[in-house]
Amino acid sequence: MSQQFIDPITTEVIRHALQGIAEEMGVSLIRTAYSTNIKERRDCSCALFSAQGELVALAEHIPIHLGSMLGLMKTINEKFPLASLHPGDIIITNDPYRGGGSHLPDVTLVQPVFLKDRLVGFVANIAHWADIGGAFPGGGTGGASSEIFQEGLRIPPLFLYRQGKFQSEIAEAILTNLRQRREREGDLRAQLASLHLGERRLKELFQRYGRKLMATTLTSLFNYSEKILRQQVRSIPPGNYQFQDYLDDDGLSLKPLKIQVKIKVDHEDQPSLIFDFTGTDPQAEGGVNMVRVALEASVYYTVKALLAPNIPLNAGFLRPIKIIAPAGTLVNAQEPAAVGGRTDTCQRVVDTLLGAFSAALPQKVMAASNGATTALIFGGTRKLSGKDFVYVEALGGGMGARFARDGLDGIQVHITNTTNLPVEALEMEYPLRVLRYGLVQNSGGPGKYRGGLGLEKEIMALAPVLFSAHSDRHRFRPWGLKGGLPGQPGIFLLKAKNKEKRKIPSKINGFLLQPGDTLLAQTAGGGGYGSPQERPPEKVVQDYISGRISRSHAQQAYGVVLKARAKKILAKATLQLRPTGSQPEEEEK
Amino acid sequence: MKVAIDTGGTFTDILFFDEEKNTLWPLKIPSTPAHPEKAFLRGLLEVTDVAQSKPALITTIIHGTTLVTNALLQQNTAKTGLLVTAGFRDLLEIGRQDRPELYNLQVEKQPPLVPRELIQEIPERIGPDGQVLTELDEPAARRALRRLHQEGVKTLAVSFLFSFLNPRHEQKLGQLAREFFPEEHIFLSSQISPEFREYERTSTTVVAAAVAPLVVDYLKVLLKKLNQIGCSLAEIFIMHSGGGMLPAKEATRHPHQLIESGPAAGLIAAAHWAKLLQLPQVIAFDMGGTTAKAGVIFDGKPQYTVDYQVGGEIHRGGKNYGGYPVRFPMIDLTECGAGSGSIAWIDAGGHLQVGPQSAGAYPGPASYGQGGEEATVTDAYLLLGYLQPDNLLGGRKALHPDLASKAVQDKIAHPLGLGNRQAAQGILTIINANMLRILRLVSLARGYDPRDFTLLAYGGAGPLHACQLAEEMGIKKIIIPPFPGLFSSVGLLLADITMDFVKTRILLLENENISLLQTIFSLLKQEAKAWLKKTSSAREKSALFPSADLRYQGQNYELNIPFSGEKFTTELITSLLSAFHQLHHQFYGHSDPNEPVEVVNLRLKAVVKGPKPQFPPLAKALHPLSESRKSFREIWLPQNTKKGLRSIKCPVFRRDSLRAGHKIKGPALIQETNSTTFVSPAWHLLIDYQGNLILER
Repeated sequence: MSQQFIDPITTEVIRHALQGIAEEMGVSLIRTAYSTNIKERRDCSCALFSAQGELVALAEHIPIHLGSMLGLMKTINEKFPLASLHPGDIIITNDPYRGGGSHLPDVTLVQPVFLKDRLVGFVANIAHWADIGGAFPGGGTGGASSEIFQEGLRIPPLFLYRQGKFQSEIAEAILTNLRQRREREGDLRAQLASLHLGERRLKELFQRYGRKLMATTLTSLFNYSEKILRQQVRSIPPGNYQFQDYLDDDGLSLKPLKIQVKIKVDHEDQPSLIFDFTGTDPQAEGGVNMVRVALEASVYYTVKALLAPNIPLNAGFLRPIKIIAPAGTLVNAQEPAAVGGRTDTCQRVVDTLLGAFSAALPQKVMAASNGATTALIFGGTRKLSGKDFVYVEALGGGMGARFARDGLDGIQVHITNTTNLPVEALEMEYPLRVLRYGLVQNSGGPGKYRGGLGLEKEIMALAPVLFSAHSDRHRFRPWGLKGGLPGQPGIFLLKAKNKEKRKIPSKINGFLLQPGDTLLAQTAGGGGYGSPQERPPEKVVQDYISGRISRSHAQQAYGVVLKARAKKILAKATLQLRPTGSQPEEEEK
Repeated sequence: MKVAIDTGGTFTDILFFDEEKNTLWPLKIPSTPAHPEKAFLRGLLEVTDVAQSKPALITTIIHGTTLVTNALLQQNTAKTGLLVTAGFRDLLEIGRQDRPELYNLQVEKQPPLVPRELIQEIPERIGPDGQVLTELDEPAARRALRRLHQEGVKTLAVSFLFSFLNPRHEQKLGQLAREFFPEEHIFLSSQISPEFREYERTSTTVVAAAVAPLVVDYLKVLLKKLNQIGCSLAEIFIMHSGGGMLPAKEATRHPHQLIESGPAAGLIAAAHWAKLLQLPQVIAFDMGGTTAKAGVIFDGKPQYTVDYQVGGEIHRGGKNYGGYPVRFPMIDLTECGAGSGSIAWIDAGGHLQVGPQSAGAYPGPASYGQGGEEATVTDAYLLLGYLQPDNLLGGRKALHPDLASKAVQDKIAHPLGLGNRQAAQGILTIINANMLRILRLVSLARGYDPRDFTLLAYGGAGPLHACQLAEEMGIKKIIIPPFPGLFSSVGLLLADITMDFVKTRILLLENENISLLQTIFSLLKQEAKAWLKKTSSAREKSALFPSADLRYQGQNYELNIPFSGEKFTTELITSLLSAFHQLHHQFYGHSDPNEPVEVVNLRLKAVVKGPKPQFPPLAKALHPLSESRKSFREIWLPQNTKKGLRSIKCPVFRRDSLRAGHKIKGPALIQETNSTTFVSPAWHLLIDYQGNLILER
């Protein structure tokens, strides 16, 4: 690290300004986009890069986009020599294998920013378009494809603008392949406007402070993030930490898929972290594969959340981290593996990493969470449903319990944080009716600290619609920690008209729902932390009163016997069931 | 006689206005947070005395209060019950299903204002076009109400799906509920917030219900005490965050509107000033002890937003995030945790940070000598010479420079390896950077060029930072109004009585829908007129201001477009469309006149205009500013080119010695009882006949 003196105050002012630019770009994008994913669920991110392509500032709404941003700049650096870039150029891409993306619906735009003909940096944004072509409406997000070609249109990095001139042939070739062209045009417009805003602001900043001072400041910002992260790594006992977890299946066969990690915490020389995924299963037939950038995003997310939540995510932050992932495995899949359901795998990678860290940082980790990014996709065509539409919803679930806190109920965890679509917006826009949307009783893994409850949503089709989905933890339950028990698994139940309810797979593409058919999607609850015997009986009673657990669950899982009808503890019976755990204080009257 | 009383977290500001003598008496006293009515009454009596008047002669009291905001921040609300459509018990628990912080594994959410066991599901269902899908199960509803009553619930919210299209089921429930709850404690979502998006509507209704008993009781106590001191003729109005006031009784029916009641009044005063001085575009900037706020004013009108969360502690993108959503057209203020009491600290990476923690009134900044050890913004002022140690609150509070020096030395200068004054300047630079962010958010981020704006700076600390902020933003003109430290109270004296009405109906804005739009508009007008009839007497002027929330079909956020006219016509539709395309282009940098546009909401603001006080003009200067009126103090300024500071002998003037027409060249300090203005070297100051300080460069 350089030892030159850098004014900490100017550095801080510039950091705020850079972050502000990224945030402004995000606000503009969300407010004007057309895809439900972007406008209501904020499935988009914006970033600034240095002229060398190093990440400078990121306004991410979901952490998974970080990987694509890093992958994108790597591609740009490799494929577009500096001399080939000009003011007014804009590059578009979505391809996981050629453009640094992580799945096809994430359309990425990047623009080099010039000041007096000299490159000073890049502005970029990613937005999840509701459709990217392919076999089914919204299919790029479905989980049961066997090749990326089925998942939609692949856009290698291409110039959408050259020196300010719109390349209409390129745009036409892209838009022709997508459903709801008008909406996609709107999404593209919103992304372009957000880029222009970012470009203008970044130029102003460089004009104000000059290239030299900006370069010094960026170096200092990178060093600052690196320094804090290394300090934090030093607080972890050195050694090797291992863990493994399984994904239910890949949507095409029932074979479980192993994810294995060995984390080496190294204090020698400079503290650093090495993540080695050797031993993970080979890439899958179905769409649960991750490309390397998705793995990087999952690792960086975990490190930041665990060790340094408040420091700026930039190029310096990445320096102490090394990732080893053999090519051709589930976590570093090679072309043409399908990747549409990769977010489930990302979530599982985070669970696995937290499991490995639990031996070193028991007070900071959490038990396994709902472990999926349950995506429900309803698509219609004019012919089939009377209307062209794609509606994508990502259903949250239970969060794993923490060292001294229950897991949160019905929430988005880890690598995603998309919001839901209001029921009233959904019903006004699509031929669907929501019958129920709520928490799943008893689904949280029992423990001294309880896992969060899973979510359930019951949706009835009012017209014929095609249903696609990917989810996980329908078989392997979210594990608990330190004696905490696993959460309840998720399930998809279909109730066709005049038929019995039946279970359908967690990864499914283009399933036809007839009017009156209802789909019940439940997500898993989080794992518990600590022995349920030690959960204070008053908290068990409170969970019963609020309906989070039933009377029989209180007795079976926690050994707390409740008196019939009244909300009182039967202390004697409880004492028999919990001979060692936390005991009720008051005697029953 | 009119009295404005603005209760704040630290101070209660009182302005007594004698309409006949056209004279104002200001007073600032410490607040009494546990019993806000105490400072209210003490201040009222004291100011009445100073004005040589009697409580019995007071005709109007206008009150701004932090009661609701504090109750929500401290989770000090009444036991509330909620009735929802069967299947949707967890609306509040789930919210929008996102977590407030991305990278915090220990993250917690604010607990809902109604615990899950006090939320009852009622079988009933209305569909997306307003038709009844399932009839209301009345026996079940009655059972649920009885259960809540037995549980000791004090106040009730009812929120059914699509009630904004068809309120019948909610209304029926409201009737049934009167068997168990007093009417003043029953709140229906179709009345409180008849707009689509069930979570936000339910949350707004629950906020109203949860704070209602508190507001009702507070106003009862206040009225009783006012009667006791002989102030029995006065009509009481409460300021609401929509920028208007409501008669006390009406305020109890819309208690969720009382959030940010004081700061909204500040914007009303700023808007009035903008009109008075004929300034088309103004950024209003208010900096107090804990927070700084900014908003914009166009043609004398403040801007509004419906996107707000109360009680959250996380600020993201200038919005309060992680709190309880409240939807109604509020004055659009962007806040950050930056005030004269903000604490400076060094983070783990060795970077200087300031705020959002504030030292408050107690222990206060280190220099207060009340045991505070943290270095605050006030301590930095003192070290750099901006504040005179014996001038705070008109000399009622002495400051200790030695303690300020020690705190800055220990907490900031030493760890950073800087000199004391350099560190103090660093504190001001950082807090300015924080405040610049909110100034950018209200201007640049919305497509406005700040160079076209005038900065109106107020609040105790606003006038000290105005020049530097203006320079950074490229602003060339600053106004410091009279009484900058009590400017929000001035706004209370200027507020109209207002109420907002809304109807949601999503349709294309096109000629085919004219008759449907007209029907909705007529219904809105009927409601508004009925309210006006109830609220205002014939002698008062009233007006209706219609507007429409529009978006491109397929988008999800709307822009609010005001319009005039009684009827929907092809011309009106054409002008609404072109105004929308234009505003969209201004806000977001793109628009497409070929895209279909949707109406989401029609809104109507009903306004009863009260008489506006004419503020007394300032005496004209008969002589040029005499040298004898100024003193000198040494202050330290940052160098433009290099790091380090230079010291100058800065002239200091008392504001009450200045007369209309006087001119001063910067650098200069203008001192008054509750504020200090700093005129930077590049700026000139002119005093106008209304007593404003007008700064230009």
